[in-house]
Amino acid sequence: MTNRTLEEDLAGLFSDKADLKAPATLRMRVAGVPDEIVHLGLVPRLALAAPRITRIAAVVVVLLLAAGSAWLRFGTGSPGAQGQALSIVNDAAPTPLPSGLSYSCPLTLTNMSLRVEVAGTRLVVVDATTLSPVDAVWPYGFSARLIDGKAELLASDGTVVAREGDVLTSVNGHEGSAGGAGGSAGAFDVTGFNGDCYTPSGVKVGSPRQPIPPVFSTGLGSQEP
Amino acid sequence: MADRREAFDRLTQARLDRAYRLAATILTGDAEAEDAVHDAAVQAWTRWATLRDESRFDAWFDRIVVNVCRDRLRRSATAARKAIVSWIDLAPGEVGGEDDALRQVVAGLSPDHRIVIVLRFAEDLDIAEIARRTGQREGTVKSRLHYALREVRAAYDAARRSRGADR
Repeated sequence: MTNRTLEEDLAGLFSDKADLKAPATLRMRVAGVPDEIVHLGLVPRLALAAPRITRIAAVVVVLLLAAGSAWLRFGTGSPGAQGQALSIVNDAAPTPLPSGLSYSCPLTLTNMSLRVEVAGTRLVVVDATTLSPVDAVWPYGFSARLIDGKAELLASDGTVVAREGDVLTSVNGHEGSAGGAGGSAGAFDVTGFNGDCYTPSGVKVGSPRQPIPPVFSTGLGSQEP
Repeated sequence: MADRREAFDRLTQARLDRAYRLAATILTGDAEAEDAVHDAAVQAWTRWATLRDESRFDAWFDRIVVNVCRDRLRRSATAARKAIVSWIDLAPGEVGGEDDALRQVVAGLSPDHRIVIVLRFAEDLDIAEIARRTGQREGTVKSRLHYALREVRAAYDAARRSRGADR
């Protein structure tokens, strides 16, 4: 080898491949290529046949169209599949309960009914009887959105719990302690409605307990009023 | 469609040994060469309309094979570089035969350099033919061949020196 040139050594290096033959398996695979490709749909076939630059250009166009569509939906504020967010006032994030403790539904003490309305970019509620606004503070995680021009109130798990015009019945909650984001004194902390109640973190925990009907004693036995 | 299929079968089967040899020389491993030729056949079938003249099939198909091999080499470039580094790190006494050293140096070349070396020395093609099969200008091919040979020569001379010192 020392008397040979690099070029000769390089040529010799590949000489062991000179008699290499394509294996039978490869011959069969290549013979099956037309059947393999013909089963593809028209679009994949066109995609495979197109030059690489065309494929890249097609991907870029699709991405630009997707970005443009997303901008039109969300960037301009027009409603889309995700809708336009409406503002509501929420409770602050609750501190975790000590281990072993869990939330239960509070006693229902009010019999308030609230109608869901929209005011500008806010979802608001009014007393269904007096139509006076109620400064509601919703459980942490609740949200609101406008879908196809109609407002929706969502629980923390994304479930739609009310729509614009709906009347929430048996609204449960308490006044005055609103520590929520933006909650004002005298706000009403909603903890449940329509037979459901929610933890401060917005998780539905079940039906609220009903108050025990008062029992009057007449001395002659018990009877309900 | 039947004519196209008949032409595809006839031309690819006739060229298959050569294509497989080319892929096996550029790549490492027979299985990878087989996969590369199959991929090239798929591309040839889907791009059949771009083959205007059947008499140019050989160069056209070789070019597809070379491109497929280049893509595969680029994906495995890191592994190839590791091979050359491990050889360089060997002490002189540990180096195998000079053919082994040369083989490792070629394996460690960049995909484009390796392809021109294979086409020039394994396929015995001239610059114009290499340019046709790689889709590069002749000047580019000359330049790549020059730098590839310089790289190989440096490692080759080092191997010979270390072997001489070892004796």
